[in-house]
Amino acid sequence: MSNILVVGKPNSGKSLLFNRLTGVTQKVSNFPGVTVEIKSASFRKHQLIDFPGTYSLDPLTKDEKIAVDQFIDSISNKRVKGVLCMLDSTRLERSLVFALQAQKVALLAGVPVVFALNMMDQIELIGETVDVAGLQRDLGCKVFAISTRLNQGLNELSDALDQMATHPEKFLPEPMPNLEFDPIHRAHELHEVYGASVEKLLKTQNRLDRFFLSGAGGGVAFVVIMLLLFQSIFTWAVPLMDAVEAGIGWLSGVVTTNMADGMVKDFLVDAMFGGVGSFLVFVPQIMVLTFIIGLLEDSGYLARASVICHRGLSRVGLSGMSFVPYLSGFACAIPAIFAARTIASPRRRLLTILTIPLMSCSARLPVYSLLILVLIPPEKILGGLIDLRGLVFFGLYMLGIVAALFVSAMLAKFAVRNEDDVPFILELPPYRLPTWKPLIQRALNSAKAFISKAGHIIFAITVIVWVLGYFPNGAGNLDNSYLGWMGQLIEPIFEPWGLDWRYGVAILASFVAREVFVGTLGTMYGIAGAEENIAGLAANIQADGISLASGMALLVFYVLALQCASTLAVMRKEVGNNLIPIYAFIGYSMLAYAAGSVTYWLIA
Amino acid sequence: MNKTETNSMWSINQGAKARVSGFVGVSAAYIKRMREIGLDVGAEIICVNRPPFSAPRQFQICDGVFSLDKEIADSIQVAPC
Ligand SMILES: Nc1nc2c(ncn2[C@@H]2O[C@H](COP(=O)(O)OP(=O)(O)OP(=O)(O)O)[C@@H](O)[C@H]2O)c(=O)[nH]1
Ligand SMILES: [Mg+2]
Repeated sequence: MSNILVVGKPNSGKSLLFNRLTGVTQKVSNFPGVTVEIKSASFRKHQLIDFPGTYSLDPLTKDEKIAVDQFIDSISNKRVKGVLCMLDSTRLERSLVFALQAQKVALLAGVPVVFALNMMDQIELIGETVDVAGLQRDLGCKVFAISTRLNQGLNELSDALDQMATHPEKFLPEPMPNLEFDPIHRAHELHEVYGASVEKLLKTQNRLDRFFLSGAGGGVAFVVIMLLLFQSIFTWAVPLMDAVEAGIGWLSGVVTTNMADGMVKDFLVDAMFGGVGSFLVFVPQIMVLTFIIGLLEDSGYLARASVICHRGLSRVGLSGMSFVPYLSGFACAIPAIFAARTIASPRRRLLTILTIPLMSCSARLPVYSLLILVLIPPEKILGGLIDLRGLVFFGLYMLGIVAALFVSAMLAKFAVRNEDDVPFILELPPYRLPTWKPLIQRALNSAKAFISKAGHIIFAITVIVWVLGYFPNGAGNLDNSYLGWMGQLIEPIFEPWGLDWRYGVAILASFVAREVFVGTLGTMYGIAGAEENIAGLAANIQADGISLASGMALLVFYVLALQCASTLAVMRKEVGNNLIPIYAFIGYSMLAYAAGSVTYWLIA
Repeated sequence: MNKTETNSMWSINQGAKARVSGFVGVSAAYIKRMREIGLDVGAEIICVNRPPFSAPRQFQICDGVFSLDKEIADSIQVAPC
């Protein structure tokens, strides 16, 4: 099979084109450095390979070096039949600096190159043009003007790529263009002659930046945007959550009404609908969160937020570039740890990775939501303006952020050594209206990932918990089950917080994955009460009674504890050290337990 | 900015233009990367925005806008143009 490499400057639209041509859903976002790993997928009879964007073939950081080395190695691979070099027509000069370097390497190795001049819709929008024919003549290789976003010019480009991969020799320029030039000067010349007016291109962007980055308006906008993000998780998702809850209730009714009483029915009601089902209720929240983070990324605002936060984050050993990984950490720590690759300074990157787990990821959402429903009344404060539950929710997220900054500051001071620092230089992407399809796709993907997790780990653990809790004495005898006996052994750990053994079991089980907490409690309440009221886990807990102090201690524990095996594995991979994740796990567990105890003591 | 002497890039006023004249205390690898993003000796740059509290400032460099923090902007010398 023949391979085509897709390369170019960061944020030029490589991954969006890759997705359009291959039908996969690689992450696309309006921020330089989104793709961190090479990804391949099939395109017609060939294989298309999406590379991380780089400004140059002279790498500065370790990750850039990996990407560049892979490009150089691939070029001499016999299977590679062509290079698609992406140019951003709105940043022609910057794109050409890299493109000219890549073209030279490819042509010298006998591999043909075609250029795609992307984002032409933006050029048209401001009433400018780019001289495509002239550019093609001077570059000596084919140039296709396209708009990936509007699907313009993609057919011609696909056909050309197909032909190039089938008959590469026909795409080699004849005669070979002169390659002995300084790419920086040449890029400048080509842009002067063929490119669009810089003034016009940057006019709106600079105007918006003056608002968002300076003065009081920018500060207020930042706070409002962040507040809206958190409020929306609670408000927008609620109708959807109600719908899922009603759906599960209806389904369990349909499935179980005509069933004979007995073990199978007990299992379905307690473990399936009560355990796994009570977790599924939270999927809409996860989708809304992913969607809004995507929206912010795509608009170009996140790069500005990074700039705003840079000074503050530098004080605690981080960087403005830590902002995006932190924010992705609210969805899931794993992609967030990968996103930390955009941080060039090794030390700041390590500190970011170590503190990402303190960002409240969506796996904590079910736990927070459940306990908040139980503990906090649905009241409005400040004359109906602010929802009390939303506020507590926000407080938990803030606690995680403050803890992360504190831990980072401490580590920066006492543990993580000061290696050579790398300066903060960030290219500001243009402001754009979001591309809806990939955003919706991303939200759906996050839901899918969660549901498949529910289908595997959470289901497995729920089943184990149910079996241990049901036997040997059957329904209604939870205290006298295997689980009950085991639970009483660990009861002393959480007894000081006024929590009985059932919580102890749920907490321990959630060291595998946090979401298990809800399912496990749901299953245990199901067995104990043998009630038909499945959806009302919160009501069941309330009826059973849990004090505010115990509940808050539990919440604080969940904010701080690092209960996620996959995060530890990814952390190990990214920092290239086996001990660091172990220290992190022990450290955060101790911190969580101590902080939980303090919370209990303060409230009780 | 004084008309005759060189200054650091950090000191360019909002909306003002200047020309890059050199680098101090920057490693060769970095100088190369800065050339690649357009910060080449002789290149004309505009300070488009100076946010308060010494937050990174925004400079228009050729067809891109880059944010640079004080540390790095201080090590780039500019002359008025
Ligand atoms: N207006 C417009 N936007 C586009 C077009 N193509 C891509 N984009 C947007 O440009 C942004 C960057 O797209 P990506 O595909 O993530 O860029 P990339 O080149 O893969 O970036 P890195 O992985 O960071 O190197 C996204 O917000 C896209 O929606 C286009 O033709 N027109
Ligand atoms: Mg990409």
